[in-house]
Amino acid sequence: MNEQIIKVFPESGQKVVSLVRNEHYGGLCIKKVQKDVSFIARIKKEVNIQKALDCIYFPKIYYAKIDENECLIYEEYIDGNDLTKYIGKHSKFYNNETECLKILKELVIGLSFVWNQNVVHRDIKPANIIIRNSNQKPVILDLGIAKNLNSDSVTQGGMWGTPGYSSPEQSFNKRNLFGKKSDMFSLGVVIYELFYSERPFKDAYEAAMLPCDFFKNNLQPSESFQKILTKLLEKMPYNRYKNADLIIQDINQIIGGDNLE
Amino acid sequence: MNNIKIYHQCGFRYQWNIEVHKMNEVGDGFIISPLDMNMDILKKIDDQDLENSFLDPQFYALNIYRDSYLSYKFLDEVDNIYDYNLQKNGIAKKCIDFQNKVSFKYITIPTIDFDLLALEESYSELYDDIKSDSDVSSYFDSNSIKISLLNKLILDPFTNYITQNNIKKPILFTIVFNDEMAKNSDLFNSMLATVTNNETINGIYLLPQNNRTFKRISDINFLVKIMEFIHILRENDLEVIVGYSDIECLLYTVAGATAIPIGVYENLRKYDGLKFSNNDYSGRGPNPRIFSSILLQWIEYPYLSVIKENSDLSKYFEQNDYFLETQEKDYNWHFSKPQCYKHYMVSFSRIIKNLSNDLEERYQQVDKLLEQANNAFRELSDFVFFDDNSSGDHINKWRTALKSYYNSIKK
Repeated sequence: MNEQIIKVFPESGQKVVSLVRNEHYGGLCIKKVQKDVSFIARIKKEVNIQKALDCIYFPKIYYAKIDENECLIYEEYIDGNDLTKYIGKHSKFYNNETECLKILKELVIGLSFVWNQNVVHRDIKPANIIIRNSNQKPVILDLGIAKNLNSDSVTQGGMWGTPGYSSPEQSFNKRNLFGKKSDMFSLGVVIYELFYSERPFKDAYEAAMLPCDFFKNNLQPSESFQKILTKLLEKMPYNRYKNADLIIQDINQIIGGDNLE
Repeated sequence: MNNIKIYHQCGFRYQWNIEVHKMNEVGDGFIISPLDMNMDILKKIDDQDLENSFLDPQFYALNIYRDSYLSYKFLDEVDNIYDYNLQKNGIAKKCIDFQNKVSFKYITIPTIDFDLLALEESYSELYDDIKSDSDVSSYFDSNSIKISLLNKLILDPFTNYITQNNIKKPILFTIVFNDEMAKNSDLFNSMLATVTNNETINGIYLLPQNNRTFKRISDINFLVKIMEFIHILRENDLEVIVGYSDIECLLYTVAGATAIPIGVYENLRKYDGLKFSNNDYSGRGPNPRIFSSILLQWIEYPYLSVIKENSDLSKYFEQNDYFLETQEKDYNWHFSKPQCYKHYMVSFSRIIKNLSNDLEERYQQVDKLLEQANNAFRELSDFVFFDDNSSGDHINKWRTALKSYYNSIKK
């Protein structure tokens, strides 16, 4: 197979991620290689789900080979910037409820495809969300493989996630509390950070114990906006939203639009 | 009329339930018990009734050998949890396909009552396997292992089959809410997270199990916790159909339970997993009792003549035909006669159906009913000295539990 390496991303641990040109997959694509793969069954299941999704919110997977020796994946290259570039006072999301809710809605719609399959992303954070240049829609990266391929994603006693974005149940290894609602908590952190350009909690203890401060940086969002964030950032997963549809209903009450079918 | 559904918890005397349903229009449907109703009986039930009913697959102890149960062939090759583990995917398929084919309203995912199996050798082996599973770290405590077992043995095979086969009927998942869940917040939270994270589940078939000294539950903490549990399930838009319960269902309706059961004998008004095991389960024939809609208690029948001599029975007992039959001259009281149970079904259903749809109002109504019961017991105390199982000792405890629950959700 004729393949040209365009760029190799900084290496971490056993993983190598590169941007390659491979005409077999239509040109530019991302190639991910990881040695010593654990949790093979789960990764296979999640990659298969992503392959079957055919959804604009996830990169397409062109090829995947996963066994105990190696995980090799070719996936769609997304031309755009990740959400870390959108954090700050210059950003269109800063102090802008409508923009924050629009992207939240897109992300919830995207994640609902995997939640419906009882699959959890586990590592929602700005670095894993790219705004596609062509249509300004968010694309969620690293479903199922984020645990293995991201340098700042850490294992926390068997659980995966990124400190600062992980739900309390992930941070404190409460495996029985973990599920799709853990992604909801991380979404809440991401949206809070876009709005305030600061995360809601300093550390995992604050995340597990303290209520959100909605008056940070002299900003004062509407009560409806606070209500959505509060519900996403509930400490106990069962106090968060029941499902994607209910999040979208609350968002639509503020910005309008159709509910999930 | 409110939207609380009443299901007949069918058992050995399921015919009485069917009769009350037809004659008195009591109950919205039936909870079918394979232990007591074989396939031939099921086939005789009207389709229209089945459409409002659901099956309790009764996997609790995994070792029922009664013919009626075996006619369903769910667990016909299972002697213990080890066998079950090997066959779980096939069992899930059989159990779901059957419920999908019959015109039941819901498909019920069963549960296994792990406490019943704790002494089985095969259970210990499986427990150790889970503990050493590479995907499950050793920091797990026994509650975590229980939840993992529940996922591995029940939820995974059943929900996978349901999702893969695009089953459209609403799905109930069975939970036994026991004393341990009421006392242990980790287990309480884990169970809630497990079911509310699962997209496949639309409702819970909830079986309260409280070890008690007397016939009425009087453990305030247990009652508060189960009400909180119901409240959280409802907040998550899950139906809550309570099974195997008695008058205490009044409290569960305040927490938002969407359906409550009415059952004939005591063993249908109280969950006891042993009833579903192969061990000899012989419920002792109880003294005949009759339900008072004012006292909110089942009263042993000899007290009725004392009340009659000193007051008016109609102040305490709904005067329906079944009650009046018990008052006929030469009526021979015996626990196996239908009148008391039919009276209960009619009388208790009326109380439930008169509750408001608004939960705040419902709270006030139930509190008022309890206050009324207290006053009635006080009146009667001038001339009746009730035994512990007929007395009103539970009433103040229920009021306390109700208030405590109400305060906890208002926080």
